[in-house]
Amino acid sequence: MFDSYLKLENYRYLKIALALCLVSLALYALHDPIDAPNGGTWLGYTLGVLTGGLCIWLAWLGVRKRQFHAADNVRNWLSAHVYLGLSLLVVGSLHAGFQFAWNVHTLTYVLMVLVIASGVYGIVAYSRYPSIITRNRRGMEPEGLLREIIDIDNDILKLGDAIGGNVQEVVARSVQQTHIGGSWLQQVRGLSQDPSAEALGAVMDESTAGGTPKMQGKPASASDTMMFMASSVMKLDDPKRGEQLRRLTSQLARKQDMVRRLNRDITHRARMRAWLYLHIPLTVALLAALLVHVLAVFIYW
Amino acid sequence: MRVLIITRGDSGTDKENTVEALPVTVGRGSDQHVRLADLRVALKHAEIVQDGKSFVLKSLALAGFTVDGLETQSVTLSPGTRVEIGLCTLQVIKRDQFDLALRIVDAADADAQSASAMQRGKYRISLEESAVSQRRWAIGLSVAVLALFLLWPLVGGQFGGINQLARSAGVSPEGAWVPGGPSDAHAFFMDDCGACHTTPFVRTKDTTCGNCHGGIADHSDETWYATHPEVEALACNDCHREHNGADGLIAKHARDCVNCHNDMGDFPESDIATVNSFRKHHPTFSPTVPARTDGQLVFTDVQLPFDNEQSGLHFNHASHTDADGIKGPDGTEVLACVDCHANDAGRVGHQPINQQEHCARCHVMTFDEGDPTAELPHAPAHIVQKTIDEHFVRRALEGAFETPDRNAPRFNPLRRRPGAKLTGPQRAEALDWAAEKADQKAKEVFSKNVCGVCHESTETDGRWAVQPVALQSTFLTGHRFDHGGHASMDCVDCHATDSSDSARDLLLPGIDNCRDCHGDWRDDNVAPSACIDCHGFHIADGPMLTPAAHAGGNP
Repeated sequence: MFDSYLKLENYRYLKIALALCLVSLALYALHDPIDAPNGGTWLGYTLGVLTGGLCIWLAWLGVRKRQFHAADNVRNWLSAHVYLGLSLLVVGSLHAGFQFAWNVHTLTYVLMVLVIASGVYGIVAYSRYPSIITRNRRGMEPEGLLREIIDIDNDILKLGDAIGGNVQEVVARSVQQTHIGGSWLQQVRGLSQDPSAEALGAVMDESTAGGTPKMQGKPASASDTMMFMASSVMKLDDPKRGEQLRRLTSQLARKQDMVRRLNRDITHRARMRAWLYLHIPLTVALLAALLVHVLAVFIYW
Repeated sequence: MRVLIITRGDSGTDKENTVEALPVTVGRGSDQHVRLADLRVALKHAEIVQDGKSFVLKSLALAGFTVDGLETQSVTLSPGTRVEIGLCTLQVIKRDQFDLALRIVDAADADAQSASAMQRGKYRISLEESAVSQRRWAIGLSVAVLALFLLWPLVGGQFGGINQLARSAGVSPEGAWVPGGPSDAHAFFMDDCGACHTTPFVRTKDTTCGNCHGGIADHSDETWYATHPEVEALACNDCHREHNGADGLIAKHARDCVNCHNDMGDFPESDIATVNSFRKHHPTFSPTVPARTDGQLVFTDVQLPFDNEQSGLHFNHASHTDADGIKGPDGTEVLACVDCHANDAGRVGHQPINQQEHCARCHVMTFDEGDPTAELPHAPAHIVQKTIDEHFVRRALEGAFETPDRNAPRFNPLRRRPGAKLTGPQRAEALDWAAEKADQKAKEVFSKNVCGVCHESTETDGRWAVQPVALQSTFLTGHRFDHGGHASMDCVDCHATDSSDSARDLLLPGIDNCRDCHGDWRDDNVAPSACIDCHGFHIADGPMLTPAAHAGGNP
């Protein structure tokens, strides 16, 4: 689905973009300006108008795709957006005549390249992550997962309260410190911390008749804990307490799995969309720089 | 010690409790001062103790609490502090007559829906829920770009200090607009855009260039421009393009000139030939040389090679520069070109040839073997002739020879008695002798021996005249040649003096000789040459040398 827009109408926009690049390259090769190639020759102005115009038109996609009536056509626009956007690497560079310096003109170029580079990441991300996300979710929506995790939290808090003592506190802490999602960077980087496992360790200790809580120790892996829990629960004398501990264990394990799945989903979605946080702000900055670039050239003509 | 605790009562109104002693305990237990029903809270979760003058909330539970988004085990309480314990909040407020006042909001007080919303609100599960906003970044970045690169360069000058400070740190606000490397010539005021760009959106005007370069000559005069407005419309910066690198201002490329000069059909009044490349399409050199028509000196353009330059002089370059040497006053000596053609001060051309300096040492102007001390002056012909006449009159009257020869007068004046005067016939005889002798000597002197060695002379009714000398400093008008710049070459590489035995040979090289080394600007494997290396553009009142200015001989 996400790839299909690239092949739209038998690569129509790829062909247009390639033609644009080839014509620009041919003109550039034939062009022999008096001074070194630069943005101020007739070809420089031509390629400049083309580049600037395309920048604005490509940015217009951001507006266009939000227009309801245009929904049918958005795939066309996206296809053109990708290919013509990539062609700017050629056309824009030729416009600059490969003259770079510490000035607003080069800043404009650099912003354009960054926008294109983030867009390239976007193409890859949008072709790669949707299937990964679908596989990880197993039919659950992230909001649904989160709601279920919250329900489990409320349940284990009650169970912990009923069991009391150290278990209550550990459970409360694990609920308090459950890390789901987080800041922009945390979402993109993904989380490794998993307080449910620690809570499982504490519950395990309680099950084996009140051993010293291993709060600071490294939590055992979830499967180890589960195996150990299963055998421990069997040994308990108090059947009610045993049932509570068994349920708590099971809920904690469920939660652990769900939190991991949700966090993976969050990270997948974050990595799929993180580029937009560069692509869009940099595009707006590019338009501002483009305005300054054009004004600077013509104010001081 | 009075601590006020405000909680929400059953009817939704505030309920106030006062605790008189520390520590104030916080927890789910029924014995706590601040009782919270939320299951996330431990039975004994925390307590407030005094630390010096301030109150500190210390956690007794593993879960601790959250202040400003950070998990902690201890926090100093001051008005405004907001502590989250589980889903409950504990806010420090200000209240007179109390040492500390706390407002408690217990999650258990909230209804199920808002409790659930509170729980959900703790988590950010998409980038959209994170604090990073595309919109804020977009606005921030673009405002930064506009402020730094548009506003600052435009109005930064109004706040002189800022720009001064930036420049001292090596940052030039205006520099951000400069599209290319500045020329060396203008680099020193490159920060002052307004010096050249006086009017926004208008190209730099010629009058602005003229503020500094006012003395530059134009390409032609007003009369000519009147018929060629398209040329008059050319601006300085059509050829001199700033922001093009260190020497970018120099109009080096042939196209700057060839735009007009490759089609002289637009200029029917001009006799300048079409040119579009030095290497491929450039007229051959047509030197302007002196010629004589009916005895008058005129200048004409000729084609090379040319062997009838009528400078009025005789000269044999080959014998003077013979590698085996030439006879000089002190024996054989080898002459170099520079012995006569000395560089001028700027090493562009040469100092004029001067008879006294360059010829007289060898070419002494004695003329009378009977009086070897007598010399002629290097002076106009009539003075020379008068000198000869007077010389022989004097000799005749002196009769100064011991042994009468067949040319001597028939009487010997030395034998006159003292006080005796020449008789009339004697005087006539002496003057006849002198006149005859002078005529004979003048012929020798002017045509062969003295003047005639170098000068072309003519005789009319016994009066001799020397052809005016037309020595030129340049033969190719409308161009300049830098001899100093070619110092690495030998003179004979271009000027074939070693095979020239006549001053009529024009020893100028043809254009092919230049093309051995020189090509067009940006040509490969040759010395790149621009039109302006030889030709000037600003020539209307410029230093272009006219033929008349070059005619003339020695002093």
